Amino acid sequence: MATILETKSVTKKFGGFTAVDNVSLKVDSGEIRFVIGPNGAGKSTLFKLVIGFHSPNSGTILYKDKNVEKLKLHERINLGMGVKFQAPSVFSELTVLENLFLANNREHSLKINDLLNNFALEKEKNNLAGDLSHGKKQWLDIALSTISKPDLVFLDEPTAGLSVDETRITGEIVKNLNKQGITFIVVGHDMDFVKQTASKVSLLHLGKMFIEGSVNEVLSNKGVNDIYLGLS
Amino acid sequence: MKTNYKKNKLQILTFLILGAIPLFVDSYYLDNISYFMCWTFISLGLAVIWGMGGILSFGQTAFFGLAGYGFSVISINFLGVAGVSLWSILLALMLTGVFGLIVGYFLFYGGIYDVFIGIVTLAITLVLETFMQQTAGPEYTIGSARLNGFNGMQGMPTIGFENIPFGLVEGVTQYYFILILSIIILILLYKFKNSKMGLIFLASKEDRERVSSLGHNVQKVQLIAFTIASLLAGISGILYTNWGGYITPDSMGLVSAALPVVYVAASGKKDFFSVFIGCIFFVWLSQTLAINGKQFAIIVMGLILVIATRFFPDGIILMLKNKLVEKIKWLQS
Repeated sequence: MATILETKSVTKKFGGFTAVDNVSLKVDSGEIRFVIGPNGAGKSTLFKLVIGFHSPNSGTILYKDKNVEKLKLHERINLGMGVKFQAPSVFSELTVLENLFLANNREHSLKINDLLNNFALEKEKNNLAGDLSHGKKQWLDIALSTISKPDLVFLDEPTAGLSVDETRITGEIVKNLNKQGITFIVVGHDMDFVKQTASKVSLLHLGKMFIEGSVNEVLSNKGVNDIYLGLS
Repeated sequence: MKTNYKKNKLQILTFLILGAIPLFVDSYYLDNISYFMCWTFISLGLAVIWGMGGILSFGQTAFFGLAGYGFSVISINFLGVAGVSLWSILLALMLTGVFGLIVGYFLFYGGIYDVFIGIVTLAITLVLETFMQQTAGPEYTIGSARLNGFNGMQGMPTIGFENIPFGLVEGVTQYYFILILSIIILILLYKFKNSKMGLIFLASKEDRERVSSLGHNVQKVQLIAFTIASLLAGISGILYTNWGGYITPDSMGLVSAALPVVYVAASGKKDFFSVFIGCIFFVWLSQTLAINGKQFAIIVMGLILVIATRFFPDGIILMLKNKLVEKIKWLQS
């Protein structure tokens, strides 16, 4: 599999605090890569570095072997990326359909009706997005990030605030979209969601890459338990 | 997107009534209504950038004045040349558009947002006013046009179309010229609002970064919308100058910068039609009150802004429009 995204020794400091410390990450096309870690591990900062919200102090970010550091957020997106931020950020004054229309940027995009059905938004398609429940907002947000059928989609905490059932359905949808050719990088720490969905896991701790591997390899590592229990 | 005329019954009816007005009123009142309608374009421009994009700009007045002065200078210099007035309009609008583009570029690509846009645009307006006030000397002459400082410019020719009966844009012709232009501009604005670009601009009001993260160049769209708004303000400036045959630095003053904000906020900044009707009404009200003293009118306008902001955040005219459509079933069908 070709490498779709690579970070080489990326470091980001905020004043004296090093949020991301010399992190190298390599994601292949077709993966559902989870980046996990406890609060403050640097997951979301790494995510924001890759999409261009922050600039790294040092290191290189390659997307499809192209250095993207000088590109603005919308320029990176137009190379074939999709993004879903941590908090559901749908446009509350627009209808569900208008939200999807706004996000639909490419010719070979996913069918709106399929997305509406998959995310159970069919009945609410003409409602204002602001009137949706939290769970539906999360789903609409994921739909916005995937409708253009990007090659790589970043999902930051896609199941935050979702019920067990909603989390499971989200996992199925992500796997289904992955089969259609979308590579995912997911930031989160819902272990059931990780086990259900991930093809590979990277664990960050105190801004550094602690371990990478399959779900079983990472979760069976003793150090990982210690990190999550706050013992290391 | 096809226009659904049934849904626009109120708008069509309103324009039919406005179209019939010259049959029922004398030339004095007709000229007054033309004057009120001159201001609708600057307000519609503000409805675009503020109502759609959430960008409160006091710069509309600067563009208004610039277009008025530009039109005056160009038309005075080319007085007597066939078709000059139309060229004066286009050149003055080009000047305004380019200025809007430059200001907008530094605002949006310079990372100036929110309340700071209001501050910067107000500063531009006041600087222009102060500059124009100081142009009384003979050295401030462009070709054969003297800028005249405080007294402002006069003596520009009326807009005219060659070899057409009633070709001079004054009286009834002026009224229909402005009315037809209003209809065209409103249709174009609704088309813009319903376009993808309009949707991007509308969404940017809520969350600029999210719109960027969907692959849209938000700054570019904001710049385009800002330029559209500046051109609309320019149309008002030209029509105002043509209507009265004069333009003064006062037209770029603090009061002039604040009044369109009152008209738009009190009318309903999210609805172009409400802004159009509301602007005519509030300019009329402001002028009527001004008969008893200019300051008195300004205080009442300020009071209207406070009341509208507190009790009718969506706008008084839009609220009345919605109530009217709710009450009269024929308008809904």
